[in-house]
Amino acid sequence: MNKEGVIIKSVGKSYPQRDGSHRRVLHDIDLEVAQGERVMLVGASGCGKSTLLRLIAGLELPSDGTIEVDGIPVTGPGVNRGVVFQQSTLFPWLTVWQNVTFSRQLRVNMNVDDSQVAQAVYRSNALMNIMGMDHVRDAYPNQLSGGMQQRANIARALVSSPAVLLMDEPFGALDAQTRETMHDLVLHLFNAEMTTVIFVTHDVEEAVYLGDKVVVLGSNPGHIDSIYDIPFGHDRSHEIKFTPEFVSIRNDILNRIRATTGVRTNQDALRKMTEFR
Amino acid sequence: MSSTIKTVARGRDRTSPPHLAQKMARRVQYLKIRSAIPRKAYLILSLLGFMIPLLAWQWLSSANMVSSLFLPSPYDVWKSFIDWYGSNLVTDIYISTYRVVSGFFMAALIGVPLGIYIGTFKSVEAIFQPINDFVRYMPASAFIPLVMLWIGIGESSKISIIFIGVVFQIVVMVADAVRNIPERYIEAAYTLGAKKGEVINHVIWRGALPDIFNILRVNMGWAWTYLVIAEMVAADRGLGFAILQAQRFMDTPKIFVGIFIIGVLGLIFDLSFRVAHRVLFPWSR
Repeated sequence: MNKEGVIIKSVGKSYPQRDGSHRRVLHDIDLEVAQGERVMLVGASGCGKSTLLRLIAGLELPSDGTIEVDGIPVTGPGVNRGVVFQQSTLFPWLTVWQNVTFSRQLRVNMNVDDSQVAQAVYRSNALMNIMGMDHVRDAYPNQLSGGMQQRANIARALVSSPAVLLMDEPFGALDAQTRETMHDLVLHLFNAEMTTVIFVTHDVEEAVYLGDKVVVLGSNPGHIDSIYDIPFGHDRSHEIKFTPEFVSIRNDILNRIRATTGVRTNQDALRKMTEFR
Repeated sequence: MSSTIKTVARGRDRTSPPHLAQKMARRVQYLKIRSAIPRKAYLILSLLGFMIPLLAWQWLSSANMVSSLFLPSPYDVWKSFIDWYGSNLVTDIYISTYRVVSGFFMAALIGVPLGIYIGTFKSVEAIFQPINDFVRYMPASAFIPLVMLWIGIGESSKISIIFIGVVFQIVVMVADAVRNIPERYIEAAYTLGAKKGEVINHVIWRGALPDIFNILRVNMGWAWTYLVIAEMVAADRGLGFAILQAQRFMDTPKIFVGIFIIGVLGLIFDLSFRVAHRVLFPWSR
């Protein structure tokens, strides 16, 4: 009965406006993310992809429909969903190590026995090691580069082995080289643990490179426009970005996003503007 | 490419001789916005900030331009200081410090938690913020008759005046500091499994602590400024009382000494707060 993975059932979200009406940002979203699957959400800005992620995280509640994670309905934020945002959320007053192990001092983890504590410490250490962060263990976040901060954010989100990792443009603020390094790092990490991932991005190449599935969201209100299966398996390296399959699927998705925005240059207006020069 | 760079460099050489260019590069820019200056220069300038008024004062009094009743000479003030030190300056400093620290401490004890809850919960804000803002603008000195009536003329009445002087400021400032904690830290704590109380303890309190510390430092300064008013309430000792007493006997040098000592004590407290801040919160800028 406990179905694993994330099940989103006819979810909608609207916000009340000052004039009493409601602005609908998400409409009738149906999506199933199987365990171990990596689903990438892309779409024009304002299509509600970040809102959908916040709903799954439980930071906001849907106006309609339900979201279940491993059979448990989402009613608020919880440890079974790890979240990484674009902007680092490391607590500036804690060192990297204290940040990564933050959840250990919380009440939810008070009743664990010694072997579980040992396991958690082992896991935290291993994550720090994989992330290449052993040498910055005792540094404060403001002493780290943006890439290092995001590594620590990912490690912190993964420490409690969440059922799903939610990422909201986690590499959006990084420079291109750092982003590529991070891509391979998270690919290896996800492969090792078969992590379930829901990943919001505006970078289609990133989506195709990291995802099993790319979901294109359309705007006004946000809805699922199309879903692309990415046929590259889990062992990927940068070379695939130059293969014809990669390029063609990326172009398909880009064209689809362009089509959903529905914004075309108004040729008439353009002509009128230039006539009066 | 490299040839272009060379041409540009040579062109610049011709307009400004090398020694001049070097001098320009080495010159410290004292009036560049937010630019750092050498530590030594900073100390010298701070000393000048004290020395210039002191010299002007010495010159004004020795030139006999103003009566010594209005402006005693630095030497008279020094003599008065020695006299006072010989009688009961130490006790006066002790009792005044005790009053200021007690009033300030009580204000912090009530103002900080209240400010934290006002900044965290809208309902608490609705109850306390408007009335706090209302009382905040009432002058502490106006409360003297009421304090005497309600609390009497003992030690607690002086402490109460200082308490009234700063507690309402601490409340508003702490509430603002708490509101400045970015929402994303609170959300992150929730996603890591924190409950409401844990968010308050581990994120709001910890995150606002350096700001709260600075707020307390500023309010400690204000607490000292309320000392003279506080010691108007039937005091028989203390720096503020001594100043009021000296006024009655036209002992201008002693007034000067009293004011200076309050200034020095305030400066010592301020510096201690700054040093403690640096030691306690290495992560905060």
